[in-house]
Amino acid sequence: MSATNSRSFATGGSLLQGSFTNRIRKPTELMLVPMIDIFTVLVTFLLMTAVFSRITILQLNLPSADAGGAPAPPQFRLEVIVREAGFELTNGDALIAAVPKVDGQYDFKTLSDLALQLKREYPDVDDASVLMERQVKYDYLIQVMDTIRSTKVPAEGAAPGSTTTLEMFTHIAVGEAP
Amino acid sequence: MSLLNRAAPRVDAELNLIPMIDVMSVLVTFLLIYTADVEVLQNTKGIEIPNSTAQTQANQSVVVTITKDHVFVQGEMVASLADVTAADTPLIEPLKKVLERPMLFGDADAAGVAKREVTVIADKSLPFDLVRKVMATCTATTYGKISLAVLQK
Repeated sequence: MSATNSRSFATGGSLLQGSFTNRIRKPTELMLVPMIDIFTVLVTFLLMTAVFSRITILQLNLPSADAGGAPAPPQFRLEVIVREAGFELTNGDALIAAVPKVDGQYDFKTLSDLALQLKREYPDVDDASVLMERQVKYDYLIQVMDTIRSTKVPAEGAAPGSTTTLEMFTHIAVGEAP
Repeated sequence: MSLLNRAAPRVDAELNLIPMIDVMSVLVTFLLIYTADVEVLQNTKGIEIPNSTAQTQANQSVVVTITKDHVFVQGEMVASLADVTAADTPLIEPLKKVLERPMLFGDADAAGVAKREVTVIADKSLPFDLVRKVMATCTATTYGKISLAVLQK
């Protein structure tokens, strides 16, 4: 900047001429540097506070929540009992199927298949219970709930290999295993 | 000197700042929008919450947090897990006391009970028994809805 100034004085033109050429030469300057400073600080701050993992919730179906009204007529209700040894599926009274652990891991695939089969049998039923033994990890509760809540089925009429999500038992209550 | 000048006419060294500002504006806007939808639940350090396919967004509620060592209500330490497992009661008494505080929920009428909500953030390695105790305590006091906080897959 000083260079241009000195040059304009060096040309020996009148003061008016000097300022005129100056106005032509020098475009109006934005004060960009402070703006960049602020932006940098903002970006760093926002990046640091940004949360990249979303927390969602699973709502439990509590029997006492909307008490009142006549008790619903007895109908099918899926119960999944999570034991140390594996899953047990019952309809409240009778055992439907037992899914033992495979290689020390819970067999979620079979559970999903059985749940789908039961959902096809009773399409109107949304209610289910997950009953857990005391020492089973809480993580498995969520996984079992996920498994019976929805499943992926092959989409009909679509390209082979594509799947759609089928909602199964969405009202899930939680309890302790008998 | 003059020779040198003539050979290479002097060009003002200039940073090209405009594209940089463009990029930064986009970044700032993106981050601002991304953080704008308020997270009701803060992910707490030291808790590994389970993954799930759940899509429901969390809403404003009383938050009960269970870490590997302690139980918190709205960030306030209530009991340690050692005490909870040692005390052989069906409910967690200190938690019950805190949950019964009237200032935790706004309205005190009976109709609000069913709507009162509590969100449980629990570490995934905890035994179910403990989580069940916390949930039982919540329902035994005046909370009609329980949600479990999970990490979206």
